[in-house]
Amino acid sequence: MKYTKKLLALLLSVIVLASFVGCDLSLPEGDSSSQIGSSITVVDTTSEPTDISSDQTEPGFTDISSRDAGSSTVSQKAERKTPVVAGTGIATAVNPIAIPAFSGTPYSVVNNNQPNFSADELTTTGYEKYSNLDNLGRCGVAIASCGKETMPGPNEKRGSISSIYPTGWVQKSYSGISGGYLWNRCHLIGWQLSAENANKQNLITGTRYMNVNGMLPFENIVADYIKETGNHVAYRITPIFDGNNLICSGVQMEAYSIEDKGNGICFNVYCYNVQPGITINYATGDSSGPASNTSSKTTSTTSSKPASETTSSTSSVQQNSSTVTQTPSDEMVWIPRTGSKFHRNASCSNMKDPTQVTRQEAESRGYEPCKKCY
Amino acid sequence: MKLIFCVDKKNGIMFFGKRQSQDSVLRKWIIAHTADSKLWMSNYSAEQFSDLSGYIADDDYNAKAGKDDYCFVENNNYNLENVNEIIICRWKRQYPADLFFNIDLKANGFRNVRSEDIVGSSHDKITIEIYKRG
Repeated sequence: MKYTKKLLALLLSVIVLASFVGCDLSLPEGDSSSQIGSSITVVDTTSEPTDISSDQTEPGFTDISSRDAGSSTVSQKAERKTPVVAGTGIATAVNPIAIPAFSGTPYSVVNNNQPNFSADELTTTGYEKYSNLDNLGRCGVAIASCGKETMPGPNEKRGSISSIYPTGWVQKSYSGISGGYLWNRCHLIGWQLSAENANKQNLITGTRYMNVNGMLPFENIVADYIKETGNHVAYRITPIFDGNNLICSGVQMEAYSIEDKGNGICFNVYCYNVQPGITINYATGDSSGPASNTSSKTTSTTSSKPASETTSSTSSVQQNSSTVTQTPSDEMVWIPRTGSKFHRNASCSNMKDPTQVTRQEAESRGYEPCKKCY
Repeated sequence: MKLIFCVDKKNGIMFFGKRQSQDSVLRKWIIAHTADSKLWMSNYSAEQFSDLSGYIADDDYNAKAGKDDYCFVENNNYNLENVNEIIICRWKRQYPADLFFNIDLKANGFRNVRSEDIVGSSHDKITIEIYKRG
């Protein structure tokens, strides 16, 4: 019995030892297959990240690298820990046919709200890339890794964008629209994220409704997240044009916070380029509606090509082009450090160190017109 | 029970299961304001308070919080019947939302007893409104 026990113990030791030799007992350094949500997966912990802000700009894109080289260097070190893919990693512009018809809500969730970014696009080095205009003069995809280094500096003033006339810019005023005018020059990547002013590759003709109710809330949520955390957000805006239309049907917005793997920011939505109560000709930018004012204060154009090279609808728009006036949304106003009114006069109400912004920005931030100035 | 909410200009609270915004200065204000009572919140909410102390993270706080305890509400339901105070922290921004603050304060007997503005770490202004019932 005594020998039997010793024999059994010896046999057991051999078995255990053999199993140790045959297995890798080292603990994994990190979880390389953890899932976030239903379709965001960490898939690669070994490959080096690609620096999208390098000179290897893809054809058709304009690359605007990080404004802060120092921050970029630091960020790149952090980046090596997080080469991930969000969603499939393959950007797929939505098909407007697959989007529910507008029913009173300014945006609609796409792909269960999951964006698609490749590992290269999830870089903690701030960058922006804008598509070259197409042969109709239309904007294409704009993509960025937004961080504090891509955002306006603390004292940076917003510049005028009124010199840009995106395709389909046939301005018309209507009563009942905040700001008075149907069309806004909509930034693809908003100024508060990119500090881009009159960049024709970043401005489209969008309704006031889409700009303020559709796109701006998503810009705000990204901008404030970055301000609060110092993290980066992969951000892609895709204007969706139907055929040769000069006005996009809508804009797809995708975003994914990089350092926290989408925990803070993760969305994929489609914003409708509509204005309730107004009928829009998306081929030309013409519009009509029951609340239309008889005089159209601003009518302008459109294409980077001469009129003779454009489609007939574009030519028609250009023939109508005439004067350019500053719309209320282009008007520069002053906002105080404290208070809730915006002012035409910088010295009104004894403001100290006021900030100049567009009226559109002031209104979007909740400021109301000063009764003395307006 | 006393409830604390953060809402945007349209009374939104969350979008697709994520909070709309956060601010470290506001978190410190909440901890300081509730220092003499218990402060309950969900585990999701506690993630943003992780660098602070003075709160209890428990997804079942609705059932456990006492009469004079505070509950920071983001992704949880609440029973208005036992609530005697509501604090609303208003971001001066509009964010996307699919979950909204929809308590009709007046109809439920709440009156505003105090309002103050604070400057946040990433928000120029956060307005804090305190409503009491009765």
